[in-house]
Amino acid sequence: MKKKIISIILCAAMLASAASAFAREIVHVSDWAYNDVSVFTSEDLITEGLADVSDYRQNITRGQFIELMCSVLIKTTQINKNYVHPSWYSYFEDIGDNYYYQLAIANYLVNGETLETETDEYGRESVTRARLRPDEPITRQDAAVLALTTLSRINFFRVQNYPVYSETEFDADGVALEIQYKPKLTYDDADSVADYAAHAVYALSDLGLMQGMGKNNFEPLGNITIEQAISLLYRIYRTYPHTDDPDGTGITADTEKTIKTYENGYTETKLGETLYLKKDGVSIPFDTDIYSNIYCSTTSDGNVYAAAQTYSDTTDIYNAATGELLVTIPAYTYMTDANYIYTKAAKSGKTAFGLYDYSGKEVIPAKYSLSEIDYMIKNGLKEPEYSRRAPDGWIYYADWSDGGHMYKVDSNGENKQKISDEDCYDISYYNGRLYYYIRGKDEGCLFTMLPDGSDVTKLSDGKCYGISSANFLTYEDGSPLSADDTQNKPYMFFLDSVGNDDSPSMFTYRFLYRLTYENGKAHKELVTDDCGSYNMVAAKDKSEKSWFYFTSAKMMTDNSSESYLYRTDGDVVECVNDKVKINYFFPITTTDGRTLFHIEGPYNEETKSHEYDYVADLDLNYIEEYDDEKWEYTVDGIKVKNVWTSNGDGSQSGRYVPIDPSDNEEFYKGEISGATKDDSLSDDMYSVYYDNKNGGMFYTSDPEGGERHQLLHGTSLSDVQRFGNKLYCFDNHDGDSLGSEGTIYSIDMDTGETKAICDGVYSTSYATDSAIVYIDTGLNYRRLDINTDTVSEVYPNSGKNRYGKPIEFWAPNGARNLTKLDEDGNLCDILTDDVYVRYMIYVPNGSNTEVDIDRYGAKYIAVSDVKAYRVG
Amino acid sequence: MKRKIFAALLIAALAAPAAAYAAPVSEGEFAALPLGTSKSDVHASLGNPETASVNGVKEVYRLTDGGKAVLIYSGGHTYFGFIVH
Repeated sequence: MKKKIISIILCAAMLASAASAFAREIVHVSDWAYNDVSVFTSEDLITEGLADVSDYRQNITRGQFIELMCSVLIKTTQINKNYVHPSWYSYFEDIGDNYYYQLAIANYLVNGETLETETDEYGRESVTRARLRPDEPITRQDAAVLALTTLSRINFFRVQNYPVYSETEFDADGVALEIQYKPKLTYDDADSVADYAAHAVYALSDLGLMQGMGKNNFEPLGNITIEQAISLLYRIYRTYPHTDDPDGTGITADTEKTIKTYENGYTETKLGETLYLKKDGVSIPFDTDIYSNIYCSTTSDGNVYAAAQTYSDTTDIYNAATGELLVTIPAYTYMTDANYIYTKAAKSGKTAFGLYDYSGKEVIPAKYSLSEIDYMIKNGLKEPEYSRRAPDGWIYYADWSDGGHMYKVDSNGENKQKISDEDCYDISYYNGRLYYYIRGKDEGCLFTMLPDGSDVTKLSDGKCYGISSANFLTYEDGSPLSADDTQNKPYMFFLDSVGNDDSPSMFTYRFLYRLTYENGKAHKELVTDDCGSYNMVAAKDKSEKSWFYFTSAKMMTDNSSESYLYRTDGDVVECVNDKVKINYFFPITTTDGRTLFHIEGPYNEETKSHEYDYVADLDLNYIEEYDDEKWEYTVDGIKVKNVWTSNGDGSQSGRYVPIDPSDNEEFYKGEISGATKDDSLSDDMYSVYYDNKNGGMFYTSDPEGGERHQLLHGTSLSDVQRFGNKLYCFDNHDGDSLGSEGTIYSIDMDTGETKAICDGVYSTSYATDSAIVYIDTGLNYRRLDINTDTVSEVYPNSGKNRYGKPIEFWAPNGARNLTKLDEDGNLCDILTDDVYVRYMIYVPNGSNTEVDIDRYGAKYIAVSDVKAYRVG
Repeated sequence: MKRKIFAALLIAALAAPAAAYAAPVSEGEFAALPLGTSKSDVHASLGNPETASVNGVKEVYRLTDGGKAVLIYSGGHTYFGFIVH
C-alpha cells in the first residue's frame, strides 16, 4: 500500500540572508504586478533561480516557487541557515545541491512527517524515495495548497486561525478517516477546483493573499506565473507577524484614502501606489516602490519632518513643509518624536533600538532596549550601569554551524571553546565526564572525555544506544540509573551492537555493558551478550530491589520476532517468565507510582495482529481487563486510561490516570501541578476540565461535574498554570493553540471569576518562582506580573545583563537560540541565531550531572506536572 | 550636514520631472542596458529620464511604444530594472 501524505514541500525558515548578490537582468512585468515585484526585488527576496529569467509573465516552476517561498520565510522568520542536515533530505532523488530544496524538505521532515511511505506485508511502514519535480510548472491551486500548508506549518497566525471544513468519520474497520469538505467557493469556475485544493483556495482568497484572474474566475488549473507567485508571496511577506507592515499595504487606493492623521495636523493618504503627506494645500508624494513607511513629527523648534523608510536599509529625512530632502540616515526607523528618530538594529522582529537627531547625527547606537533608551533620555543620554553575575556553569553543545563539533561556553555566553572536532550528538555529563556519540568514522559509537576535551575514550566497539538516548538509562534529573543504589557505586549501562548490524535497531543490540570508574578511568564489564531491548525499563520489585528489564535479542537470531522478558541488577541476569513470549513491551507508571508493563505478544502474520495485548505486573502476572480501543485498563478494581500530555519540550508522553466509569463523556479533570488532596484547594481541583472530545477548557464550580461552562478555545491542559488560587490559561480564539494570537485569562478558583489579562499573545512562558509570565506577541516581548495582573513591555537588549538560568528559546518555526532572562525579563542572547546549537546541556558549577535547559518556546509553555482526570 | 536641495520644492518628493525634453527610448535599447551601469553612463546611453525620485534611487523612462521602464539605483549604479507592460 502506498500512502501519499501531501505532495511535497514545506519550506520553512532558516537562512539568515536569503538572496545574495548575483547577476540579474532587466525584467518584463505586467503593470498590475510592477509594485509588488519591484518591492519584492528591493527586499532582496528574488532568488538565484530567477537570476537569468527576463520575463516574469511566464510560468514559474515548482522549484522556483519553493525557492521564493523559502526566501520569504527565511527573511520573515529569521532563522539560521545551518538548519539543514543531510539526513533530513536524503530521501529525495531530485533535489541535488539546491539549498532551498534541501531546506524545504528538511523542514518537512523535521516536523515529523514523511512524504511517501510504504507499508509492507507485516504492516511495517518505511519511507520511500520521493521526487520534488522542480522543473515542472505548478498550477494555481497547487500553489495555494503549498502556500497554505507551509504557512500553517510555521504557525502563520492568520492561516492557523482559519477553519477547516472536516469531520472525523470511521470506516467499517473502525479506522478514523479525516473527511474534508469542500468549502463554498464563489468563483464562477469553482467546480474546477480540486477537492484537495478547495480549502486552500478558499482560505487564501478570503485572506486576500490570492485573487481571481478576472471575470470572477480563479483558473485553478492554470499555471501560476512568476509575477503572480511574487505577488502572492509578497502579500505573505508583508503580513507575517514578525515583519513590519508597510504603510497602506492593506489599502486599495483607486480613489485617495486616508491612512492616518498625525497629531501635528498632517494627514497621510494613499492614491494608486503613492503615499502623500498633506497639510494646508501642500502635498508631498512618496512612491511605495521606494518607501515603505512614513513618520511625521513636529520638533520643539516648530519644524516639521517626515522620516521616510526606504527598502534599502536607510531613512530619508524630509522637510515636510517643503518636500526638501535633508539627509539620509543609514538605519531603519521605528518611530519619531519631537526630538529624535528612533532607529532599529534590524528591520523587523524583536530587535535593539537607538536614536538619531533630525540633523542626521547618531545619538545612541542601536543596541538598547526601548526601556533603556527611555532611561538614557531621562538621564542625559548616560548609559545605564549593569551589574553582572559571575557565570554559574557551562553549556555544552554541538554546533551545526561548524560540522557538529562540540563546544562549551559559560553561562554568560563567554569563554567559548571548541572541545571536540567530531560531529557529536546526544551529549550528557556525569561525574566530571562528558558522554557523547559521533557521526562519520565510528558512527554511533559512545565516547567519553573530560570537560576540557582531553582524555577521549571510545567506550563502545559498535553503534550503540546509551546514556542520554531515549533517556532510558538515566534518572529523570539526568543522573544515570543504577540497578542498586545501595552499592553507592553508580554505574551506567550501554548497549553495543559490536558490528552486528550497520543500522542497529531495537532488535539488533546484543551486548549490555556496565560502566564503572576507578581512578578516573572507565572500565566496562559485560552484563549480557543477549540484550535486544532498546527500551530497557528500570523498576523496583516488591522487595524494593532495582532491576533493569529487557528482552532477549534472540528474536532476531531465530527470526521469530518474539522473545522473553529478562532482568538484571547489574550482576545477575534472570528470565522473568519463560512462558510469556513478548514482541514488544513498554512501561506504564500509575498515579500511585507503580510500574506495570503493557505487553504485546508475537505478531501473527495470518491475522496481521499481535496474539495478545495486555497489562501485567513486573512478574508478568496478568492485570484484569484491558480495552485496547479506549486504551483503558482496570488495575486493582480501578480503571485507568492513557492520556497524552505535552512535556513542555515538544514531546508528548502518556500518563495512566484513574477514571470514573460513571462519566460517559470525554471530560477530563485538570489537576494542576502542586495541588493535592490535602491542599486547601483540593475541592477546586474539580474546577477546570479539558474536553478531549470537543477541545477547550471548561469550568465548573460543581465537584460533581455539572454546570459546565466553556472558557477557552484551543487550550490544552499544558496551557494552564496555577499561581496561588488563580489559574492562568491561554485562549487562541478557536485557532490552533500553537503559535496563534490569543488572550491570557486568569480564573479565580474560589469564585470562578474569569478575567482577560492580555491580548495579542503569540506564546507564553511561565516563571513560576517569580510569578511572571513572559509573553511573546510576535513583534515584541511583554511580561505579566501575576501578583498585580499588570502587563509591561520588555525587549531584548543585545546581550547586556546576561544572567539568570540559560533557556532555550524555541521559536514557532523550530529555530533555537540559547538565551536567558535578565532581572527585567529581557531575553539576552548567550548564543545568537548565527550559531545553530543542538544537543545542548547545562552543567551548573558544582553539579555532577547536567540539568535540563528550560525551554522558552512559542509552542509550549513551561508547565511541568499537569495531569488529567476524568470527572464523575 | 549634507543636504540635497532640488529646485521644485513644493512639488518636491519623488516623481518630479527631471527634464521636459526627455525622449522616449526603445524597449530593446533599454533591455540591453547591463545592470550595474553608473548613472552617468545610463544618461549618456538613454538620455535623461522622464522622472526621477528626489533621493535619486529611481528613474522612469518612457518607451517608444508608450510603455514605461523603471531603473532602481544602489550606490550610484543600476541595481535592477523593469519594463512595465
